[in-house]
Amino acid sequence: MARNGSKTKPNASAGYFVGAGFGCIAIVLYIMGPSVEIPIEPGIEIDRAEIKPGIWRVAMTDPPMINIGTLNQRCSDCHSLFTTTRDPDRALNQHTEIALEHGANDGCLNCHDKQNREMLALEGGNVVGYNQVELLCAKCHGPIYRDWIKGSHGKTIGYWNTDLGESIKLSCTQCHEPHHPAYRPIVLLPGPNTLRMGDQSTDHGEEIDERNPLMRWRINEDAHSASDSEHGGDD
Amino acid sequence: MTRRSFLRRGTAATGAVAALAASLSPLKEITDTDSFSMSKFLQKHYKEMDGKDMASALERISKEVEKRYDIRPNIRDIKPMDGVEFVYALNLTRCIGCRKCVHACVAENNQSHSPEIQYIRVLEMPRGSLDIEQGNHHYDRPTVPDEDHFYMPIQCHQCANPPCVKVCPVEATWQEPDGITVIDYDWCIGCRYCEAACPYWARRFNFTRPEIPKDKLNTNMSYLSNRPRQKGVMEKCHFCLHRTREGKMPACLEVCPTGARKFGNILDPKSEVRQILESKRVFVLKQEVGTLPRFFYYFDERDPINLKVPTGTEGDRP
Repeated sequence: MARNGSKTKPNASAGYFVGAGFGCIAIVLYIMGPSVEIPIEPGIEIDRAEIKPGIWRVAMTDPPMINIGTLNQRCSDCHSLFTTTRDPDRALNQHTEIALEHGANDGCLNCHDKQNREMLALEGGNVVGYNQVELLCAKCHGPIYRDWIKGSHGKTIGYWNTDLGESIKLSCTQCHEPHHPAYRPIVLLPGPNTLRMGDQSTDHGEEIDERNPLMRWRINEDAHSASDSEHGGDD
Repeated sequence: MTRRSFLRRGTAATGAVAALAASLSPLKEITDTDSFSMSKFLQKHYKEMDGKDMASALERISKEVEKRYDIRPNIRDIKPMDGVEFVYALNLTRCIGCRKCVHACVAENNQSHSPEIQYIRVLEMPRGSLDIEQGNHHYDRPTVPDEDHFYMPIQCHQCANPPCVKVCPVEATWQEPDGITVIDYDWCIGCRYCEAACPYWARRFNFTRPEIPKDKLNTNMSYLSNRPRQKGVMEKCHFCLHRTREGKMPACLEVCPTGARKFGNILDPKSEVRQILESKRVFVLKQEVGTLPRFFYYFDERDPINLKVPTGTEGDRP
């Protein structure tokens, strides 16, 4: 206003408009300001039992016990009374819950000792207790046993620093069911919901989802490049 | 002062004050637990705090947690051990993609449930390829594993040459002597440069106020790891440092049903990770970017999923 250094008097009524303008802005801001809602996908709550840490399955104790009726019985309680033939085709009349699916290993006495059923059978009539089951498994699974010794196979829980606490290296049967050593398929937990842009649960990358803003851009680009090639563009 | 100028100036001043108040009105939405406190504002950088400063900071955080979650946390500042450098190894032959590690991590590290924040992402990858662009986060099947895919969990790789640390303009993130890259949540300004710099998509941002159900809060906390975060700060995997610096295994490892995850001190010649790095053909993700990750992947020599049980000669799965 004071251009050229001349003292022109400012418009006397301008001040009223400034105040009124600020007032209008105040009203607009007050009404519009805090009402912005950020859409948030609710989180999926996982049952704590699904993520229980530690040992995957309960292995046989040493000496092995089996619950028959309501009583815990030693193996020899029954097996000392009668003998067993080495006949893999014969149907079991006891232990009928066991369905042996262990590849080519299809006989009970390949692993269980014939004389003492509380021991496991190694080569040459040697036996080993249930607490050293890895020596039995190592009869066939040599490379896995080597990896387990070195730690690249298997699971170690507890403390990595043995000065501060116990390091627990799980044995073969604390993960694998010995009569069905292959893991059965596992029900998976839900995936992330914040990264989802359209339904990507099917195979990824084959169909372009129009709800996905990035994919919409790609559709336009594809259409654009297609029209370019129609006009003879060969770069 | 004339009556006219009084009215003129008075109207302008009233309007200006009202506008200022209105523009600050979003601050009304800030709830009391996020409130400004002078001790937080004046708190020093983590590396400049002495024992007394840290004690008062921990006391302030405890009070904030107690006020919001009605439970007093066991929060402390755990320092790295001497002669320890943490390394993670992951057996891709054994990973079945069950996502238990993802959710165990959320439970252990007090990540936001709403909106959802997860440190570990598991990619379902087509067999025979390591092209991460083909990985799918959102696989959903009745059961896993799928025979045509393998599964690749990715989390913070705790790089020895971390790009996220280099780009931080306020030094709110740095690498500790045991190899863990940590964040001071009270120093972070939320610029998200680190998120952009990370080639492993490991960093997460709290766009809104994180929500954790009161009964799901893990009260075993440390300053640099799993204490509740506030809106507008970054967070990421820290190898469960409140567990691992006390000698324990990380939560993701303890929950893994197949034992695909391995963790330990690489400087200890007897440790599992040392033996794996010496005897297995390990690789790192995006080696060409030169980040020197402390997170190694490996495959077993034989692929058990391709051995059909029981038609194969040896049922060796998994």
